[in-house]
Amino acid sequence: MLDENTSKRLSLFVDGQVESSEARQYLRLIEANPDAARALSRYYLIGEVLRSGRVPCRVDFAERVHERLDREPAMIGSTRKSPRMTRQHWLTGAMAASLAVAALLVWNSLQGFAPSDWVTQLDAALPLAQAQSDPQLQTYLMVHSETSHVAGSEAWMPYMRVLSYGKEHR
Amino acid sequence: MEMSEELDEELVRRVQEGDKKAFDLLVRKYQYKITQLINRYIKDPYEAVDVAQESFIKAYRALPNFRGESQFYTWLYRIAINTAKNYIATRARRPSEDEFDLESAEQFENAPRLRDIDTPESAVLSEELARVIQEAVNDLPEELRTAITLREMDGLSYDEIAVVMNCPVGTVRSRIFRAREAIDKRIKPLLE
Repeated sequence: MLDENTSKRLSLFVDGQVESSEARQYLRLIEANPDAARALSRYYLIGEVLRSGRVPCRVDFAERVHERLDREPAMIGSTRKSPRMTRQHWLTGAMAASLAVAALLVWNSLQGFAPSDWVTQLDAALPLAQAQSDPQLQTYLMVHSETSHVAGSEAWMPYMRVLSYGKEHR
Repeated sequence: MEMSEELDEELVRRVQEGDKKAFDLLVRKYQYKITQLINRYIKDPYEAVDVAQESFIKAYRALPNFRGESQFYTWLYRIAINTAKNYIATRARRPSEDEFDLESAEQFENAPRLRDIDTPESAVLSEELARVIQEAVNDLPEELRTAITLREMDGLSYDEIAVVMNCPVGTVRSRIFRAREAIDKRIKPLLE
């Protein structure tokens, strides 16, 4: 037996008079109370009969579908992105990229040197060049390259070794 | 966006996150509309119910790919119409019952169907339900009858009903609820 407050809320729910944020509460209510689920179906039925003058299907239709759904695998995670969300993400990404380019240009002009100078300076600062100019460091890197993944640097440490071998063979 | 659509969107999102119970609510909401829709294509009421059930199952399976570019119910309607059309096409190709071989008979047996559980008694119950609901509406006090018919038959919003009936929206809420409760009391014994 449903209390009056629950029945009132179900009536509002049938007419779409609840906020979407309240949907969770209604789901809990219906999960916890099979009477509420049945009352909801009866309210929908009343509306349908008033509109069409007939009962189009068995009143336990939803329960029958539910039984079949029980045999269906549950969905895990959502693949859906609403168009609004996708557009927002795209705009955010584009704005971030534009800001990054603008910041780079401003930085270059403030530093007063051309991009080619900047690249040259970066090259000069690369560890590879440093390793090649320092035999002791070169040896250290080669010896430790096999265990470099421990430090999370597996991506570039072996690469350095190959480069340096190439240099030596040339 | 209307609140009903927002609610559908929320329920769809929850189903996509693995909450099957949320789909139950969508079934309860649209079961009669979908069956009525399919009835326009398939006159046999028992077959229409089978196809309506199948439409909901197909919709559930397809929900991971639903991107929310259209409203849920228009998407569901499309699935229902396609399912009905496919059913009609398959039925046209199907051999008559005395031509069934063992294999097709087996498929027929395995197909989940509501027809098996629909009986002449349930048809009588449906007619009785429709009659009792109409009678209950006629027996309602004038203001309750007006409120529920404006809402259900004319599809007016609560705000519009408040204007028509010259009363606050809160009163409309209360009248619609009391009308439903009175009708529900009459049909509940038939369903238990």
